[in-house]
Amino acid sequence: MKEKAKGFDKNWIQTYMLIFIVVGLGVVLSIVSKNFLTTTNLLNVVRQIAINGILAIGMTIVCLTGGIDLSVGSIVAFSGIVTAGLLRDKNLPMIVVILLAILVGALLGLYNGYFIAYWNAAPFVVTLSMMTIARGMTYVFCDGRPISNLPTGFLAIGKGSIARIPAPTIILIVVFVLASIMLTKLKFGRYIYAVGGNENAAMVSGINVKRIKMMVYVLSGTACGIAAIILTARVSAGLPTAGNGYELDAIAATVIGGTSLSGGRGRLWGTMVGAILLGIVNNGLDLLNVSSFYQQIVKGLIILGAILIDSKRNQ
Amino acid sequence: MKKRILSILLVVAMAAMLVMGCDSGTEEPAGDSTGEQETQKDDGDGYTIGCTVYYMTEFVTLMVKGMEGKAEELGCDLVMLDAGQDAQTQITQVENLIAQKVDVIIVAAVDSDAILPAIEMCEEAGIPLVGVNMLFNTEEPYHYVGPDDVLAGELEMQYAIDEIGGEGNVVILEGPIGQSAQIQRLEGNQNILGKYEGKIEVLAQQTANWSREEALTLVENWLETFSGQIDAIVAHNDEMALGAIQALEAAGLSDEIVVTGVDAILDGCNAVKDGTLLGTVYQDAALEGSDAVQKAYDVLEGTVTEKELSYIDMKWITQDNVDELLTTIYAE
Repeated sequence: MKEKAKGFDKNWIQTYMLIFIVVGLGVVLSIVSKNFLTTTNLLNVVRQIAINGILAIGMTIVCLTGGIDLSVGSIVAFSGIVTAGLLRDKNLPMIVVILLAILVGALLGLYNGYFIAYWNAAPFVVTLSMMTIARGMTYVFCDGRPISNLPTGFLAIGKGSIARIPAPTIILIVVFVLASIMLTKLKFGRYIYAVGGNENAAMVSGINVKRIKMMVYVLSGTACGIAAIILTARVSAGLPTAGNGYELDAIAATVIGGTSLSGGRGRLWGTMVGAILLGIVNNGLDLLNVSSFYQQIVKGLIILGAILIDSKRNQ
Repeated sequence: MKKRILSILLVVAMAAMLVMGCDSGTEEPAGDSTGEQETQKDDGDGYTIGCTVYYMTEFVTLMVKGMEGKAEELGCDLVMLDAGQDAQTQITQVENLIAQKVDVIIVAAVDSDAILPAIEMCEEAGIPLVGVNMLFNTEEPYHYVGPDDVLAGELEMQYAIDEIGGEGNVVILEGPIGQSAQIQRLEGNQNILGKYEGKIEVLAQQTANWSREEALTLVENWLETFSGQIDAIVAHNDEMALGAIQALEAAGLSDEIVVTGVDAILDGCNAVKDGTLLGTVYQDAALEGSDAVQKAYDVLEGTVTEKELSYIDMKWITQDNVDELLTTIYAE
């Protein structure tokens, strides 16, 4: 028990450390680039992190059970193309389309979860299979062509704002609050930690482990559906190539945020700060005119740094 | 505990150094050029041109070189971003360029549709936008400098048909369906095919997504399906043409079937020199880049007001003139 309490304590140190790094980075960037610390730019940053932030929340929940979801990018593409297709061809109310898009994401997540939980298949392999299935379904659905000419009302989700706060950011905040409540206040959330911490102990204590393991992928798929709506609205088209490699950014935010890939340990807060850190790095390096080749190297080093802290803590 | 704090501090220091390191790393060359530009800025020039390109392909790298050359000549700063083939990233980069208050933005779009929100953002910010290389899918007029892909499609089809004597069967290897280059090159192909109705038959046309490997498989299958019937293979780019050539070589049909391509990449030019590729269409990437910067500059200076599409000239490359390219841009 003492060990566990200590573990949480360390976790918090890392989270605070992260916030410190983010603030420090912000200070450095505002010194070297006069365009960083402007309202427009900061609003840009919070808008830009929304998609990755939402995917990372889903990813964190999956990682808490010791799993991983490599299919998020492809699920985003498929939900997105379905959204665009429905908007263009079917005269459905927008809210119905949005709910359908989220449902599509959740269903693909259910596929992942079912095979992982009930067939004991490795998450890496199952989600890898979904990754290519969903990408293929996307191409089939749109015949390889982008779907454009979407209604302007829908596009507001991407570029609209309420009280200057961009709509994608508001959606991110809502998703974050709901997911936090679920993880910390609901029994279901505590079970997720329990399953990730020690699966056998969780089973012995009467938790329906299989159901929990399946549900986390449904939640991740749901997050993909939500992210897909924002993405589609932002680029004003359904794109078969959308979301390529987004799983890596989501995993990066999760790991930087201090969630252990072996499960049982991690906080959404950390993931959020991780997403913000990645967003600021991207934005800052863009402003500083750093080639995207270097950007990738920087991102890789940050992930490595986070992992090193994590493994140090596990010793 | 102390050890841990120490290690965390080390990571912070490393992260900080990374950021600063990167900064100074890029600032040095940038610093030099701003130094030069400072003097030129006094002449009233010195615009900052923001640019986002879809991906640093070999072609785009050459185009960017052309842009840099022109920007330096005009005394402008060039901010170059690479969207890594992701449409959402490109929108993000346009937002960042606007936040940076650049004077004009040049975009080589990841996707002709997905770039449309950027047009609106630039309009709202009052920053002119110039498209390069990839058309925008809009009815509204816009500034654009790019290849004449219709002409490219016409050239490669015409020369292929001439070579087989104006009669026979062709197959077409298309680019990714829906991309402006594919649409326009196919339109060019069809313009020529229209003139040979009844004489030339298109046995098959399918996309190989610009990919050598995909084209190889596709052509292997076609050689099987249309055994002995294909006279010419018209590919929308050299990569796919090279895939087709590999399939023909494996089947021992290199001398019987004509292949044409577009782009005049290095491997393509070598194939032309070897005689395995009949010809390819050269799109001068550096010229395209420098024309785009010139247009952006003219827009800012007010000498170009009308939004229109400008096409750069396309050149048919055969064994006769391929050395011009191999000894110049591909000299090393």
